[in-house]
Amino acid sequence: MTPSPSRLKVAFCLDIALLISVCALEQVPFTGAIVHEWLGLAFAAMIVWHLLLSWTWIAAQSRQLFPPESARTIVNYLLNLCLFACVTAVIYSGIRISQEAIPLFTRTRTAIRTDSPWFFIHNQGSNFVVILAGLHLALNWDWSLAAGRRLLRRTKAGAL
Amino acid sequence: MKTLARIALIVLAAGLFVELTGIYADFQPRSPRLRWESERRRRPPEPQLDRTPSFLGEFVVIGMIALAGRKVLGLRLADSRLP
Repeated sequence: MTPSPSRLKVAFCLDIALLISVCALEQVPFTGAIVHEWLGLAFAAMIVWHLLLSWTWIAAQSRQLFPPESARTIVNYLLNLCLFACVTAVIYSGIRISQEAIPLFTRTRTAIRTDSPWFFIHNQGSNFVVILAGLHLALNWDWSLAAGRRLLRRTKAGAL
Repeated sequence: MKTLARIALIVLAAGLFVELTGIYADFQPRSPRLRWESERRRRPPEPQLDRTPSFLGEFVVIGMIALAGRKVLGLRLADSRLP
């Protein structure tokens, strides 16, 4: 099924925003801790939106798993599932060690113990997210290029 | 309604992974991490724009991983989901 131009534009822009966010979130000194925490929360919302926009594909791939149509289907599915698991772990551990954003909601600011495992999980998980995001981009490379080209053509046609 | 059901499913799946992460956290050793404090000190509250090259470097890293995924691992979609 071919997505409508507006839906394609939203999906593509959201993907670009996710890519920029991953890069920014990886570099805490660049954004600063405050922006990092708020961007992390926005990133969680963007992930949900990304999954909703890809729902048809996710549902189709899930159906193809039983029985599996090909090894590629299984590998791709596992890769995306691992990315989702890692992103979830990183967001959750980020919430657990938040010092700026979450205390505004809970109205309590507690000092994190230095032996807390959440900081370690947050750091290690974010490294895995970068690797898996790269592989996720590799998976969807053809789609991204085709979507980019199509949107560029449309923009040029609109400008003429 | 359909969207709400899908969001609920996403939250449910995320909840499962949160539980698993919690179990993993329980098994982590509780020794004070010296790196923790030094890492925290490296986290200024305000943005540091002189770190822009590091930010741009992340794009290069992800791009290289994507390239390796395509060329070495041969990753691509199983179906032709082109727009």
